[in-house]
Amino acid sequence: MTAPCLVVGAGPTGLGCAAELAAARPVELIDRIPVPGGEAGWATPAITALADDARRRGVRFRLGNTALRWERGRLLIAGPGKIEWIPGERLFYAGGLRPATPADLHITGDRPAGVLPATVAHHLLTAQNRLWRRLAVIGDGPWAGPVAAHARVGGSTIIAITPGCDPPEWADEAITQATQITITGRDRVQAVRACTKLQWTETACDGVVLAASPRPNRNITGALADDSPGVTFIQPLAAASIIERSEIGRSAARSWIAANKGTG
Amino acid sequence: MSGPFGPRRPLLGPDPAALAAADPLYGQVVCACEHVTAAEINAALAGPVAATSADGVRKRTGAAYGRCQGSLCLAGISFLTAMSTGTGPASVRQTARGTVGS
Repeated sequence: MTAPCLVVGAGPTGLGCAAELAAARPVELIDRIPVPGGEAGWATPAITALADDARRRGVRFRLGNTALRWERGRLLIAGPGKIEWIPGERLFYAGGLRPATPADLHITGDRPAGVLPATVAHHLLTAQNRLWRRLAVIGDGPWAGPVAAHARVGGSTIIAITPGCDPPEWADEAITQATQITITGRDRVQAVRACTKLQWTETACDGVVLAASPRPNRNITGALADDSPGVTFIQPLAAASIIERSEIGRSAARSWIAANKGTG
Repeated sequence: MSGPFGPRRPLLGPDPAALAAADPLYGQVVCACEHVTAAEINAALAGPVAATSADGVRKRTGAAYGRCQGSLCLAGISFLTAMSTGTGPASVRQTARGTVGS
């Protein structure tokens, strides 16, 4: 029996990739949360349609499992109550994007509470939590606009700190030329200091969201580097629509099938 | 990887598949970068010197110390910490004295 192709990440990209691979191989689709859609959300009609299509084509869904380790044709997955190795011919990794960390952005200063990655802030804000009065959003990645919109609904004033961008439309105030960012605060964050043309300006805030420069999320041991053996990474950096992302997944699958005809 | 009290990260040990029988929460991975599970986080929140903040959990378990620095898991860690300390999403402590919300 041929080992299946394994697709990790059931967002738009992974769903498209899995559906297309199913024409040539058995396919198993793995995601750490128990529903498809990833950051696009499980209830979106476009996601439901993609998931239905993948199921019709015979993709086996293994949702609610976190992929941990990839080595020599097998993948370690963990779900509540069950941890197991499953065989795989190849790993297609569509694990999405994450915002840049403070270290990625060379942010200096204190490490107080109230500084959160945009993905976490988005999660908390969409659950109707009111968290901050003056929120500094660093960067203009795909999460920045939605985070700002949700925070504003909760009554926050939004300060954008977006080096190299025009003042974004989602902000009430903007600092656009900063070359260095420092955070101050003892217990909770009190201010962001930005250096623009050798002048430091201090902006008071009670929350900071890191929403800059999306980069590929990687967390499977053995599938971290771009040239990891047996792995195809499909993590388009430019924010695209659900359909566009699923097409990028499909096209990666088609290229691989074309290059590996007759070996399955 | 292995110390006097067993492997630092049980999931990275020699027989990860056997862990689920000991506690099903070993299968519930919270921090995917560092492979830290809900079982280890709950242990850190219940131990003799229990963690009372997300940073406390981070220092005890390594959760959120990885490549993404909590982008994926800080929501889960703060949820478990809030459950253990009787706080909420805004009032849960992120550091020893500072809360997530103001």
